[in-house]
Amino acid sequence: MKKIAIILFGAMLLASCTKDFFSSDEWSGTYDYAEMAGCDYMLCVADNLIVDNLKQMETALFIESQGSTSSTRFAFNGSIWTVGNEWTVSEKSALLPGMSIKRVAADSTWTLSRNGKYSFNGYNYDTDYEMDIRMRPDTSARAAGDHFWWDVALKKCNRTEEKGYRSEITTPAGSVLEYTYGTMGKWAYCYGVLGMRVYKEDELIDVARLQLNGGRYNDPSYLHNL
Amino acid sequence: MKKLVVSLILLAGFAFGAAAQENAFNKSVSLSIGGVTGLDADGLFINNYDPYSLAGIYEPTWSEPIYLPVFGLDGDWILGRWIGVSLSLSYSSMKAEKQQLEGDVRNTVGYSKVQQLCLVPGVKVFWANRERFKLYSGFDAGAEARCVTDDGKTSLNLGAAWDVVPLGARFKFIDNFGLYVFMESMVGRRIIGTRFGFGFAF
Repeated sequence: MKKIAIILFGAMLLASCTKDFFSSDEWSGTYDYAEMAGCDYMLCVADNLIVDNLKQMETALFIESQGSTSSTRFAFNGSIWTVGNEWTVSEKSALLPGMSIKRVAADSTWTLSRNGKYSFNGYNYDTDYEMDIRMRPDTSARAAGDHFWWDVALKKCNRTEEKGYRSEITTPAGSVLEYTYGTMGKWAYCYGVLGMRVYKEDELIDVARLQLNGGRYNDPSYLHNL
Repeated sequence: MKKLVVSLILLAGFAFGAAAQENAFNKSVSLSIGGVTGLDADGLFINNYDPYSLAGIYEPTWSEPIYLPVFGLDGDWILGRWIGVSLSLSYSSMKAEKQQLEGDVRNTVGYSKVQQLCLVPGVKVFWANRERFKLYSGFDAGAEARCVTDDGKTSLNLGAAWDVVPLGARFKFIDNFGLYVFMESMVGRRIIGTRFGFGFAF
């Protein structure tokens, strides 16, 4: 009886140890958390920074749709649909104060830009970014009040941090991140690729790639040390 | 803990009211071990990995440190019924494995170590002072030397060290023979917790 108990205990102990070295997902190989270093960082751009900008953009569209000639959230010089006009988020706004929205083309494309502090989970560093966003034509699949479908080309996102570190995050040339229709305060899916280059004291130390396949959790495919 | 305190108070009750001051066995030397080193409170070489900042991802970090208990060598001189002085030398150290992201692997790049040596004179106030039993509180203040080794480089820092002994007790079991054991609760730069030891009084 004692031998059986010892064998069973040993087997349980061995089983618990193997969980540390083998992934719980089938056919996914051995997992090392160091392989994912930087993934959460890049997700802050896809899931927080870009989405915050889209939220301000849709608020601007709503204000425009109400026929308002002034706003406490934005300063603007005309209709947001007119090429060349610019809307700027008020410095008193809690979300992205100073962000600029400029209509650049008649095909529902705007350029959003900002240079200021932005927080990644409490780390508030200077972030200088510019993105082109294009609204896909509205279809009957989208109900009034839902989010629009946006294609986002992140032309630059340069973040300068402490100890000489900085990052440059962009979408690859010619590609976009697709934020599909959404309801209840969130977009449903995000598809596309982001690239990141990390520098320390102006020396390139890492190159990373994040592929988004719809969901934030479980779905992203991440590689670094490229 | 409550039972311990009550027991000590009961034992001390036998000593209160003694008319004569203890003249014999008023000098002693002791060795001690125990307590959590004050190095723990300083947060040296901690796990500072954070996935939301570049420094948190790419800077070196450390695994859970290993601490040695605090070793002490003390000399005491009881000057009178209520008061005594002491001189204490203590040693403690801590070691942590240093890791850094290199490529897509987190490698061990070395070990970081801190060694602390303290020399503190002090004062003790005796609530009970009998040959076989002593109950006391104390305060020590002196100097510490801290040697930090990181990345193959060693640096020496000098600073102040202090301790408060809220309660200590000494037990000698054999008449006319100086061997005793003691335990002290201690809070300060050197030790947080309880230390135990034995000594010889003469």
